[in-house]
Amino acid sequence: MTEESVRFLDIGMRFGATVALVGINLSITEGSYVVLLGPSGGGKTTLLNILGGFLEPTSGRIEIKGEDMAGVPAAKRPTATVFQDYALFPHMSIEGNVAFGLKMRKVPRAAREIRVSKALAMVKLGPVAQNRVHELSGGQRQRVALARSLVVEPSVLLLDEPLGALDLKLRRQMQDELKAIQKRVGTTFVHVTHDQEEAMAIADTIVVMNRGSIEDVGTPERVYLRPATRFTANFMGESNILTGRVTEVSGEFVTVATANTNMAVRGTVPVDYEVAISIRPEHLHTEDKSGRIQLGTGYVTEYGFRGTHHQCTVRMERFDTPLRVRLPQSKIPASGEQLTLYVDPDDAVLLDR
Amino acid sequence: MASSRLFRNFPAISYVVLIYGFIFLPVVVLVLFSFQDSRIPIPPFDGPSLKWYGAILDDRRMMDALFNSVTVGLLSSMVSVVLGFLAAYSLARLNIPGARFFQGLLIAPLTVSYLIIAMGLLITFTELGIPKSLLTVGIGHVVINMPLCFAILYSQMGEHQANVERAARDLGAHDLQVMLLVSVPMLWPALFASFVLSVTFSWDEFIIAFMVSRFDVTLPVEIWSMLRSGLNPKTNAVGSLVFMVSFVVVLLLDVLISRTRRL
Repeated sequence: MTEESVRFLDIGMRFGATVALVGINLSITEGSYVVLLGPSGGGKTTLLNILGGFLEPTSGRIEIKGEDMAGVPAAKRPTATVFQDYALFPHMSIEGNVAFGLKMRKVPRAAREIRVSKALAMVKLGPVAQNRVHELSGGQRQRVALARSLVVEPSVLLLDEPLGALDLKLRRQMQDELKAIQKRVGTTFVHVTHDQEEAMAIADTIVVMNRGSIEDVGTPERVYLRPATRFTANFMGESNILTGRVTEVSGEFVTVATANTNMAVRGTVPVDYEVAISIRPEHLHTEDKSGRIQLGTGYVTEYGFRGTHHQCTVRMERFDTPLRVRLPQSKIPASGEQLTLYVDPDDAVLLDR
Repeated sequence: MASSRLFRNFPAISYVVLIYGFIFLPVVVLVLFSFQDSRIPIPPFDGPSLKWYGAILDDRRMMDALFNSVTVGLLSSMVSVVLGFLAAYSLARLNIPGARFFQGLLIAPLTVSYLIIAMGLLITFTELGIPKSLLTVGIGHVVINMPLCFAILYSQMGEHQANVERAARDLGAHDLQVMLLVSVPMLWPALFASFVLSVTFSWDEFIIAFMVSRFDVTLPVEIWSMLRSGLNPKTNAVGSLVFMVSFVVVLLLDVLISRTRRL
């Protein structure tokens, strides 16, 4: 079950003097849903285009199911792409769009018709098979693009910000659908987005990219709860970053002296190193419980109700930057209120970089 | 109330009437006096009569010229569209060094007067020993119309179309299939528009047709030689025919474009 679908080996890409990708090494497991997440200009779309065969990397190699893809054009790769603007054929019916790839592969008419109607049924577009593209809504076009790519049964389906053009509600609905379809067909999906909520909702594996290199790879839970780098901690939701110096190493734990307190966190860094610790706003508490460390006291400068919680900004004594804290719905903060903050050492994450 | 508004808008309305009068009066006069009954196309109007149209249809040379014009127009426009499309496609899609330079070079003839182009063609054909004929007229019309077709088609090959072509390639289409199954159908309105525009330009082009033709001539050249023997309603009738053909073709184009625009 852990068969390898795609492997990037030391991929580098430059456009003239601009370096777009550097030293990308990544393995993608067969049948998994992988999300490349990062800010625009992070290199995620470039990587997708290299995988799809639309760009030749300046260095490194790509293997799909163990086969070297160097010099193999997009048409000959076992990949299919769902483009951001869908890139549907406006002069064909929906059915014509979906049948296109099969026609190019010279699939006989009878077999083609069966596969097309199956694909359209999968994305619930059977009833509009004869319609033209311009008659469909944005969400429907997105499904046509998906059906058109999946019908050719690619080894890897590439999705370039497929939900970017949809409004928020439709986007959340489509991401559940995408995930369900991926589980049903079992094809490896590689999905590019800059929306971290979307990434967490659908990914089996999140690949966080920034400035042309990979920052972090892991399950959504791993990447969110134990981010490897400062960038990941900030990009995947909100984070409070505390800096300090390692004063003691004992077993799996190191003790870090921050501005306010000494904290024992999981990690392996030699004594005297400057490190950063990430704490999620929802991991800061106002009650003391056994095992929690006191971070110090501060006062509320800003607050707002966010439905599931109250979002507060708390200015701490001796801290350079204020902390972001999420208080429970029942605890209504007041401006200037004094708070004492506690954290579970397990929720404090030592960042590698 | 309606009359007061009419009064308030009087300057604007009279301006519009003057402008359109200025543009269309010559055409109206031309067409009106093609129905003149007597031999001289000047007021007073004593028609209507269709006898001058009959005279044209009986005029063997005029009918030959008409046929030549249609042939040259259709064939030269087809060649212009095909060449213009191929040039636009390659410059828009392939990474050709100096693409901008070639693009400029292709569009440049649009800025040169037909007279200069005609002289250049005449000298070239004489130098190469190519006899003046309808073929050379057709080549001349490709020279003036191809840049136009190129400019129209190039402007339509934007980023979105490039992406759709990429999708086709991604789905396994090879270059020729991408071109024939995706690019051409998507560009169909632009291809048709540039073809029709080429036909209308070729249809009433005079200078080049005059300078590089010899025995077989196109309609404008025939009309010109007829005019030399003085005005008569027959020239009005043939002029009206030329105008009406252009008018119908442009109208047809407009209808077709507005129908496909909705796609």
